[in-house]
Amino acid sequence: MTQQIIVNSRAIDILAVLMLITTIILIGTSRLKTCIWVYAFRSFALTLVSGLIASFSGIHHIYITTAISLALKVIVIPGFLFHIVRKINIKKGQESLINYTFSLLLACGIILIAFYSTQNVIQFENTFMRHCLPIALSITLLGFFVMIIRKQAIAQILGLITMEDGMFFAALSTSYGMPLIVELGLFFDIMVSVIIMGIYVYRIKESFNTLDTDFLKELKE
Amino acid sequence: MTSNIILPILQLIVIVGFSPLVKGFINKIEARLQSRRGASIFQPYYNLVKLLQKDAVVSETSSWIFRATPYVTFVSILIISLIVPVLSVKVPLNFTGDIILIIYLFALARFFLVLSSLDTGSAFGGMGGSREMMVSSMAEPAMILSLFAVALTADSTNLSNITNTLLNDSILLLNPSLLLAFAALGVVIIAEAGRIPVDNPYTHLELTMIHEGMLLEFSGRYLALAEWASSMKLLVLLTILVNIFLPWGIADGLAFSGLIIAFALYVVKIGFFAFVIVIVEMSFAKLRLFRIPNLLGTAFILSILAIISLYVVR
Repeated sequence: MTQQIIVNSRAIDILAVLMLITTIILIGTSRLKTCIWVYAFRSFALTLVSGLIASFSGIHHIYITTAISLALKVIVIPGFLFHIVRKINIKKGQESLINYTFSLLLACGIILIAFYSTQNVIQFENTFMRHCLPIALSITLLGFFVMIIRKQAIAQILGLITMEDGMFFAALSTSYGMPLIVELGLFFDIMVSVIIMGIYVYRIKESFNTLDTDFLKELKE
Repeated sequence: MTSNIILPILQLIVIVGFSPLVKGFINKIEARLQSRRGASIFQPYYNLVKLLQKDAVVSETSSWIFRATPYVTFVSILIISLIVPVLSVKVPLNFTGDIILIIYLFALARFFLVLSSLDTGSAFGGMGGSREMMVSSMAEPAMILSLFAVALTADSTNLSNITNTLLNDSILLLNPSLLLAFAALGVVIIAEAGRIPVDNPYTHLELTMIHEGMLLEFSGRYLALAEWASSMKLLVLLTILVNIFLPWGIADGLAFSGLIIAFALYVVKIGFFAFVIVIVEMSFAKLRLFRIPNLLGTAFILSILAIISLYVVR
């Protein structure tokens, strides 16, 4: 029995580490389409984690959130982002405020901070999710970091939904998810915000002929 | 007593004898996927035989380093192949060396190759040498750290012990830090073996070559030894990867039936990773030289994370 629990928690650990690796790839690549594929892959890993947690814990409402997150995060949002990329026809790689090697090093520092700051908490955690809280915190912080360093609007959207992924994962791993009504609200929230931001991206492209959000600071044409 | 003789011979046959076959296999599969017919799978053997029969031309201005280099590289890879467990957990030079020695032997081979490329004073050789040093200065830390993450997991730096521990404790194998180390080592192997996202092994175009640039001045038996060493290096690196992270089926003694099964599984595993290399080469273009730090920096950070997560779990 304990053997089974250890194997289960290791499976979740490995999926969590896969999510962390994909987040690092998101910081290390400049191609938008690769970034969106990476996001879809990470969402798929997250869905697998929540499905696994649902089957281990036997809490039924996690199955519902799993199904919704599969539909929304793996299919709808990446499909919508691909649609925007195709529609505004971006060819150029995206620009970053600091170069990639340095931002990878900073990302490493952020992950260190996340691991260090959660160390006091996870000592009292059960073995089920020892790894998950630091990884969830680092995914959240890394999403924030992506929003800061990237200039292009779509990459900033990706950063925002990365943050949301991290928080969802943290809730899932520490308390088997939030109440169903809160989860539903969150999903609806994220979907609407991505759609609205997509429309904004389209407008930014229309008026400035670029996706660089720095132009939004200018008051006059 | 017999095991002392059988084991080294077996490992040498597998690594030295089959390494050109792996190269031929990769070339053949890649040609088929590009819908070419491709050269025979045994073509690297024909090349080696042809080169061994030819006379070597050595530049008058070169020193002894140029003539010694092919032997030094070949022998250092040969020693590594006796430290790495191939078919059995037992290794011939078990007491002599561990992971640290392997890293230093790789460095020794590379150091002499770079020196010899500078030795003849040809411009392309020097360019290839300086690029090789640039790539290896970033690939080596990642390789060291990812191997150390494995060593810390198994509580030993001896490859034979590491494989043994991981073979018997399958829960230890499902460790997140091993997964991170695996990803880092995979990237490093592509860089060290000079395959496509980092270096193109098929070209002799002077602007892009790294490894081929250093071999440009070699001819005859020197060239044969240097090329054989580079294909052995690829097989040794793949063997390390396979036997650390996927050790299932490796024999734990020298029983005949166990060795047969181990060999069959070894062929399957190496074939699979060779296929992965082909897929990577098919789907990526060669990276611009100044983009290589991004790739290897990612590998470095993954290996650092492997070590960090190891300490957090404990």
